[in-house]
Amino acid sequence: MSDDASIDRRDRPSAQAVALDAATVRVLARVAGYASLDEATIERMAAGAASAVRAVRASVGASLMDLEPGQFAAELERLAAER
Amino acid sequence: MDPVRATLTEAAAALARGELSSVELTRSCLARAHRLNAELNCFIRIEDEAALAAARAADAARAAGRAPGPLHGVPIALKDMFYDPARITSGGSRLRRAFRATTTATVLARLTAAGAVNLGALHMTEFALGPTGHNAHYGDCRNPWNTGHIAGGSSSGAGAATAARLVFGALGSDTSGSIRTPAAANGVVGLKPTYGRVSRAGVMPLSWSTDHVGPLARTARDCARLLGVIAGHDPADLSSSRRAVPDYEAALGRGIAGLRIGVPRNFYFDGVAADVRAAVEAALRVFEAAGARVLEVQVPAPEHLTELGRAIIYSEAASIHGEWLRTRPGDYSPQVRARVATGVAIPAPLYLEALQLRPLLLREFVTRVYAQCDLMCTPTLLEPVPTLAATDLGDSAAMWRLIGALGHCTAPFNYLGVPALTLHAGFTDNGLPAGLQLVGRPYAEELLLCAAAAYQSATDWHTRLPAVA
Repeated sequence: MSDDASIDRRDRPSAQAVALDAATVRVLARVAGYASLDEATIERMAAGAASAVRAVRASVGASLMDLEPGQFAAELERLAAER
Repeated sequence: MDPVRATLTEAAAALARGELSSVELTRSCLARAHRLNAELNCFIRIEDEAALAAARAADAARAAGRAPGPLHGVPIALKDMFYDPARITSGGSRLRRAFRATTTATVLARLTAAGAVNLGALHMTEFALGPTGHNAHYGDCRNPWNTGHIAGGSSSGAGAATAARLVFGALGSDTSGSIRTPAAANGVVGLKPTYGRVSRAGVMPLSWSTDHVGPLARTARDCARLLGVIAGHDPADLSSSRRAVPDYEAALGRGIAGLRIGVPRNFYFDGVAADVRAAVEAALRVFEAAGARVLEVQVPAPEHLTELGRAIIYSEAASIHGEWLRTRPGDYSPQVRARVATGVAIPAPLYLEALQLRPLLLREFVTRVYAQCDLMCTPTLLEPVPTLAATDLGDSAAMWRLIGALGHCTAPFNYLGVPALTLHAGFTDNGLPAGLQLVGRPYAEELLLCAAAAYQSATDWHTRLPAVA
């Protein structure tokens, strides 16, 4: 992993501004083939997804290019061994 | 031996001494389960015939001198999501009301090999989603301390049945707090082990990256016994660790002299109720009296961990449930349908970024927090256990806020994958149990159990009987 993978998790303005509107979510649901979801469900989905998306965008502070997929389990083992 | 007062390990010892047979003990538990299930709704199915057959086999094996396992003849039960070709596994859903798996969950096979007697399928929220114990298809699970209150979820029945002394221990699953929330709400010990410590093979998935399987029981020693049986590498679950399984029970007697217990003053006490805070602070004094050192710690950037976890859970749940969302959306309750469908609105690269960030955030959390302390201590729930009526919110925005509030202290540790244990630490002003959460570095289950055992040796909360029992 390169040094620039260290994280700076300050909330950036762009992350705070994430808004997923119901119309967009309705289109995505239709693309996925989800049968007729009602408006209330679509709105809950939009709110839930927006919150999760905001957290991801706010948390990525550097390139993740050199991170190995699946490194999480190895990190658990390594950090246990450091005790 | 009094089957209502005895713990799991005491029951196992009484069986080993021949004080009673497994059939006698199983009959006693089944009778109580039938009587109290009408009030608690903590079982989806009680399986008398299979349980008594297992008990008879356990007694016969003992009589024949075959080496008994560590749970030989002891009645337990599992959340209704552990696959067994001999039984239906509903997952708390209408969609799987008649589902029969073709494989056996590895943890169930290990419990059976250890001699446990399975009394049946415990109540859970639909598809393991939901922290309250409401279930539109099977009715709501109720809290044995006050049946007007929630049992917590999603392992609702595991918490309620263990607290009501219908079983000596149970298995649950935990994706955002689903072992720890019901354990706290019902006043028992619940352990979410390190990610990879316990196999999930043959367990209904919700989110393969954040699902954990673990025990609920009345004491730390009971949980140690159960964890020792179910932990360890499983070739059928590639995420399971090859790390050796320690003797968890042997670790319990080490004591906690000199242990540094860190109390985070950022995030994990935000909005905590006064009576919950009082219970936690009283527990900290117990730890100090036992020789531990309590100190304040700062926790790095916890505010996004829950939502990072949700980016993963929603995305994986949407892929697991995709076909049914397309073909049978009406078979979900509205709240669960909305939650499993939410992943469709999370772009795939962001889901993958949430996964890629995990080792970085884990390393930051562990190196910073555990440089200051050996264990971290938080409330399990920020507020007293609420009523069923106050939390019967359907799919409203208020329900989603409630889900966030109930998982505030538990969900971050599913994302981080570190072990977390809750134990009964007294009562709040409404007479319901207060839960204390201990969080360790990866694979520190021994330390968590040791600290919990030290606490239980100095207190008697775990010996109290709920009203219905």
